[in-house]
Amino acid sequence: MSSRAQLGGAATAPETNGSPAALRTPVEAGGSDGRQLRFTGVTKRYQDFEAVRGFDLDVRGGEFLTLLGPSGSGKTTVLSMVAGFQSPTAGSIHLGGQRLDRLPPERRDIGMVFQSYALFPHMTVQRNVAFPLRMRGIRGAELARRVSHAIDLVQLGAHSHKYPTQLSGGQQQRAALARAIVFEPPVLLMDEPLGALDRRLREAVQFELVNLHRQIASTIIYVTHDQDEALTMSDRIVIMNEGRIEQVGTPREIYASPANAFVATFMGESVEFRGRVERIADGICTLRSADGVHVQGRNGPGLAVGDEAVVVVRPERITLAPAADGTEAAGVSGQITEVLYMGQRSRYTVQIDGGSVLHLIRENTVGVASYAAGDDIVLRWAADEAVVLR
Amino acid sequence: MTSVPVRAPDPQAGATLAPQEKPASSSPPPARRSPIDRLAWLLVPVLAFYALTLAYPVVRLAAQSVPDGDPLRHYRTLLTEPLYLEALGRTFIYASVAMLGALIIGYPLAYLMSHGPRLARAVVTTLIVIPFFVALLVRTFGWMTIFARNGPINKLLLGLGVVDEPVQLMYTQQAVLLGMIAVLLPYMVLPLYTVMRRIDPRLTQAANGLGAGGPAAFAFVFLPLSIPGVLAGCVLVFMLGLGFFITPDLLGGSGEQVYPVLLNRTLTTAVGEPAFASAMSMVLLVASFIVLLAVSRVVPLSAIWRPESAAVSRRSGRALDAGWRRVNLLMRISRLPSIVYRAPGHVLAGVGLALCLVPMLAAVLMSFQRSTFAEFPSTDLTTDWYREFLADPRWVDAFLTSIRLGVVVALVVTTLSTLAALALVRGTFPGKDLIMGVIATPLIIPSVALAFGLYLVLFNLRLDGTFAGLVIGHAIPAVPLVTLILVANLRAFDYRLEQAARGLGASPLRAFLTVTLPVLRPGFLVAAFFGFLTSFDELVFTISLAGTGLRTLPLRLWEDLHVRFSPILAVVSVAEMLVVITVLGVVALMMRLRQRRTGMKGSIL
Repeated sequence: MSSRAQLGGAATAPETNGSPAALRTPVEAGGSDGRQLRFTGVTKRYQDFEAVRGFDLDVRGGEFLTLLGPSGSGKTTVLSMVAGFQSPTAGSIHLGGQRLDRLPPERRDIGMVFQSYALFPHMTVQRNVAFPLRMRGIRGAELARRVSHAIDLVQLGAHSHKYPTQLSGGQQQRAALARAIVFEPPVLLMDEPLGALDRRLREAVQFELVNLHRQIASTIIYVTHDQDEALTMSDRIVIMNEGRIEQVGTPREIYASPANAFVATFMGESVEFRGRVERIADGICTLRSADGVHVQGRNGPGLAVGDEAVVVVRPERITLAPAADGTEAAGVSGQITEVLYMGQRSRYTVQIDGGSVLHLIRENTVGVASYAAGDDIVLRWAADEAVVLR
Repeated sequence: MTSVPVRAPDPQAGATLAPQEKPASSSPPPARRSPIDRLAWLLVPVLAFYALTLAYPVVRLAAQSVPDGDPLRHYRTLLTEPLYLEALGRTFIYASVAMLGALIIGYPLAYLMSHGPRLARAVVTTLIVIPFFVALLVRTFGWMTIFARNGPINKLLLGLGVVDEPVQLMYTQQAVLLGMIAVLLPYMVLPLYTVMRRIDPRLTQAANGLGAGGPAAFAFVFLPLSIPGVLAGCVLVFMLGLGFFITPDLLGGSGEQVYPVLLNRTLTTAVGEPAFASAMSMVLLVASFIVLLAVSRVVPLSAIWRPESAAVSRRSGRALDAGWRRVNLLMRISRLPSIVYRAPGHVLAGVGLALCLVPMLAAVLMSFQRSTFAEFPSTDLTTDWYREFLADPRWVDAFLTSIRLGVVVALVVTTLSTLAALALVRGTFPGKDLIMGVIATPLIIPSVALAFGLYLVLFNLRLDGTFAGLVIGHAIPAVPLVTLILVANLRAFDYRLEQAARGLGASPLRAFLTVTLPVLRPGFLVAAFFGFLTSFDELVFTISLAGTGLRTLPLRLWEDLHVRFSPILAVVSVAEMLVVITVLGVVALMMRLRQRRTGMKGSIL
């Protein structure tokens, strides 16, 4: 592999030591940015299975992009191909206009934080962080300055002489991060870096990462299967499933306008009504479900009367009202069968007239009526708050 | 290496011959402080056994070696006669060469076994496990057939026209050294492999991603992390080399011999001079002791049975600070096509595999040759020798004696070792590390130096030349091996299971019998089988203790090898290999069974 790289990639490789530092300036509008990553038709095939299929994506310079998907969706494989630990079966990856996928990992200048951190156990934090700089021939005062700067950035100054086994999980995570950013890589890859931390710590580190991203200006590609993490931190999210991209968009776009049923169910809670399209008018589509209930939502692409489809509504967009409130507005009526009190919220199990059962989570805030099992209720939502999907 | 490093390192985590360990909760919680835990009593049988078979024999040797009148007469002879001094010097040189040779060849081999491509990993591991357990004697026999005047090497040289007449290969220094490297190679590979297997491959990947090319990642990350294995393997092979006589004796002829060969010849021929034999033994013992003392100043000796201790790799990490200067050179090498810097490793690993396998294959081929003296290999094949082997009561009796002996040794040793392992893993008393060190001693001190002392002790007990005497002799090398396996097994056991049983109302003993024992049963069987194999292959103590009546298979083979050279000896070797392969097959099966039943992972090594 590296012999090919020698022939094919030597000329385009960042030969000079520390050159990526020059790219650290803010994005010049429209110009070619050394931090831009372009995937063209990237496919990774194993003997009998395609881990990634026809992956096309432009990652903007300096953006925080999250690959989100269930395990086995190919997100880590994409990351490995950027890092150079695996090579694509077909397609190409370009960084700042230079072909990346034929270079061996050590010539790519890409920072990576491993899920397991992969800190070198025989080196102190300081030596770990110095490692990538030493590999670039940096030494002396320059080395010391950059190492301590990176260690300060992750607030690990007090522990710089400790060995990885002497650090807590969170400290190890920071050490791994410092090691990945110390050589100022144009792209920083993170493979579920918070996976090994407990929930409280995870939330704290999320904010730190976002702050850090502002300071270092690298493009970050972040892999996770945690939707909350993706929503909080990302500029854009790529939803992956079975090796394909299902949707690319900002957290808001993905959450509010899922492109398909997979994205809708994968991203957050959703309530679904299946049925057949009865009428399409003014961008609003009306479905008649098997239970005989009429439901409405924004018309999705390519739907025609008679098609099987599903209306997806975010539970917090649904209002609950007592059945006999005398309002004219149409709604879906049903009965509450079970209430689960969860402190800040309650979870209602609702049986729709006609048979199907769904779950709703309500905040227990002031001014919101609470219901008990056995209450008859009506569910309503504004038609443009729901999406109709195939 | 676990992905989430476990804090509070267990002071005796892991053992050389360890099944993979679970990282967490495998050790019992610290019990209430009491100066001597009741479990410590379980060590009494093992310690008594060691007092009888290690300590007392040394005392006897020391006493015997100083005759009345002129007590230091023999020591004076040994330390002034050039014959012995030169032999001693030669022994150190040979042991060093064997150590370096085995390291250079064994390192790439162990790397391939632990981090090579999946297929290579499986194939190489399987191929290396078999020679590891096949008797030294049998593998040496294979080398004799290869080095023979009419053997394959000479045939090749003549065929290529390199030489006009057969070259003398047997009874040369080169033959002895090559044979020693080949025969001791597995003892280098094993600790290396144990350590390398724990090196997370993602560390090398991380180094690559951080800008270190293959050679630099190897030099700065993989190599330092493997140093504990290097040290353990070197100490093990060097110490074995110091007391090694089987291969040098058979491949080296009568002149220019190493000290252990002289010692063994004195033991078996000059029985009339027990004082001199004792003094000779003492000199070798003291020499090994001095070496161990010197080594322990550099490497903690516990590294031999638990080479993964963190302290060593930290030290090698600090040592890197001097090495960073080489980074530019390494980076330049990384730019070369990878085949350039990988080729030497591949070649060496291939050589290592050949050194392990070729002698065994040669023995198999030899067993089918019709003629005793004609060229080997030839195409004139026969199974006559197998028939002759089965018809000869001398061989069949020896074979059956070895099997019987092996079974009894396995039972005795597993019992002793189980008690010791329980105390060492579960007990909460001081000095556990030291006791583990004592139990491991027979692995590193030369058996040949102890053999005469043990003979003296057993002679007094009228056990010399008896079955029971041989059981005792064979138990000496088996106890440390079996104890190490059992300790590793008990550690891997999830202690919470037993706690759960206690919580559900079982008494400590009942919980052990109904929960711990059934879960660990395959582990016990594996340990017992290794006890069997150790006895089945044992030769050093057997030579001194068997007397005139009892004959084991290796002993008979050893004696016949000194008298005549016949394909029937190859048949004997094949029989030995078949037993070993069968046992290893059963062990591998049980490992798989255990993994399926309890999720505990393990491998034979």
